[in-house]
Formats: sequence, structure tokens, C-alpha cells
Amino acid sequence: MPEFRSEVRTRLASLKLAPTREAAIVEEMAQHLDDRFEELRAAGASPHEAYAAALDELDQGGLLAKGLRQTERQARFDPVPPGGPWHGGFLTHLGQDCRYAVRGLRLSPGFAVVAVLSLALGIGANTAIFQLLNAVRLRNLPVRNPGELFYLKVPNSHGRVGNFRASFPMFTNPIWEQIRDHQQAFSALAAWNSTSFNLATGGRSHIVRGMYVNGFLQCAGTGSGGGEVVLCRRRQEGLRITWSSDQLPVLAKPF
Amino acid sequence: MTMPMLDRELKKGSAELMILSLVEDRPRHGYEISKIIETRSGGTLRFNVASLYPLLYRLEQRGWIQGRWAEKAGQRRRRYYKLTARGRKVLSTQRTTWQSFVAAMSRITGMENA
Repeated sequence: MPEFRSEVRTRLASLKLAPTREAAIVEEMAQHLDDRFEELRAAGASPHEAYAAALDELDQGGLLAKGLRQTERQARFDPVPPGGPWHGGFLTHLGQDCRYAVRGLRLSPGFAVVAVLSLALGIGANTAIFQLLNAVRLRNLPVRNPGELFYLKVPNSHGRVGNFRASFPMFTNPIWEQIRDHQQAFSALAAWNSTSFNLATGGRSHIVRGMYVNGFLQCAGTGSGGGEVVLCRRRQEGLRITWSSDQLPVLAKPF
Repeated sequence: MTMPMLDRELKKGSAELMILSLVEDRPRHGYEISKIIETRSGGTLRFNVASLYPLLYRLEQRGWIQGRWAEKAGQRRRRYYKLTARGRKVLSTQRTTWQSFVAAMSRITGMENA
């Protein structure tokens, strides 16, 4: 069977039809020519004669281009048929893509609802995960030079006094004071100790978790004198811990 | 109206009437329409690919027929044309006009007595 599609397409080229419309016309007319070719062959024509006769009918008097020019509007723009070549930049076809998407969603409202809900859930979940990750890992600590903060570990605990198997190395207070006062590598050091405090002044005890801290304000670059920072929370409540100028933490009012 | 123009208009009108009539009962594809016209006219009238499809597209554009790609069992995918409600009204009007025209011509030329 000869190929008539390219013959039809060649004859339609001058009309500059929209590619999708042109593809439909080419398909339909090529089928007609296929049938005509088979008919002529069945009547006894040779393949060459049948092919030539079919093409003669296609070219008859320029009727095809003349007739189609009256009915078919020329494409104002060049939409991309499915599987066709893609020309132009992203913005060139953005409007067409949007129209195609809206038409597709309107034709399948059930699918549209599921798609929108899936997108909403996906975006919401990703936002929540990012906020958590940002708060825990990405966002800089609210100190003057967060890039200069280091976490100290004791690689060789042999012969040293303290507990170095926990998540953070633990020293006795005298050793901590020696390290703090005699180290020369850092501008300041900070240490803490988690513990419980009884806030009750009498009667039933009111235990909250809290910390003794030392050197945090110097490390944070907020000054060397007194200060205030939130250090512990208990459900929705917490405690503000205020430093006096001698660096001793004092439990202050709840907030 | 000059004779060539009258001839062209008559052919044009008759072609529309033929196609609308052929898709009245059931949808047909282009090749089928052309074969029926050729067969029923005894070979006197023939539509080829270059004359048939522009006409089909024009009728479709006017909303008189509607083409749709469909695949029937054992056949390849084809575009079938069916008559629309608007096309049915046009067909009815054109039939009446043609019957009147033919009757008038017969009376004038004496063909009905021939």
C-alpha cells in the first residue's frame, strides 16, 4: 500500500492549518485515497496506475486547497499536537497548557477533586516537614556569630574525671571552671546541667525541669553581664531564668 | 444570474442535498458517501477526494452535519458524519425547494410527458 499521508500533507502545507486540524484532515483523506487505490487495483489497474490515478483525483483542478481555504481558518498560533515537535520557549505554550489543563479537569470533576486534594495534602505535609527541619537543622541559632559555635567533646577520656559516655560530656564544676578559665582556643565557653527545681514555697511541691547554665550569654554574644533567656518549658508554661552579673543562674518568675 | 453561475449554484445546492440525504438515516464516512453517490447515479455523478472533503467540512462548519472519529468492529478508525437537528431542518427545506424546482422544470420543458 502506497503512503498517501505525505502527499496530502504536502498539498495542505500552503494553508498553514493548525497542526491538530491538519493531522485529522491528512488522516481522513489518506484513508479515502487508500480505499480508492484498492478499488482501482481491484478493477485491474497496476499499482503504479492506481497510485497515479488517486493522486490525479487529489490534484484535480486545485479543488482541495481552494475548497479548504474557504472553510478552514488558518492557525493564529501553532499549537503542539500530542507527540509533535515542541518549538518556542516555556512561556510560548504556557497559556495553551493552562487551557488544556482546565479543560481536562472540567471533563473529569472527580479526578479534579482528588488531584486538588492530593496537591493540598502534599503541599501541606511538605510545608510542615520543612518548617520542622528548618527549625531544627537549617535556621541559624539566634546568636551573633552562629558559625563560630562549636560543640566540644572529649575524645580521650582516659584518666579524666567525669562522665563521657552520655550524649554530652559531663564534668564536675571545679573541672569545668578550670577549663573555662584556662582555655585559649575560644572567646567563651558555655555549660549546663539539667535538673529539677521545686518552685513551691511551702506545702505541696511544684517540680519543674530546668537547667543550671553558665557562659551562654557570652557565647551568644549578648554581653557579659546579666541577661535573661528561656531555658525550660513545662507543657505550655515555662520559666525565665535571669543571670546576675556574677554568672549565677537564678530562677525567676514563670511566664 | 449568468448561466455558469446558475450551473455552479445548482451543482453546489444539489451536492449539499445529496450529502445531507445520505447521512440522514445513519452516520457514514466520506468514502462511503462518495461510493453511494456514484453507484446510485449510475456513474453520472462522482465526488473525488478533492471535491468531497471541502464540502463535508463546510457542512460541518455550518452545523448541518457532525463528524466524529469512531472505530467499528473489524474496521479501521474512521470519521463518520451524521445529520444534526439543524441539518435535518435544512434538508427538509432543500427537499421541498428541489421538488418544486424539478416539478417546475418538468412542466416548462415538457419532460414529465416525455
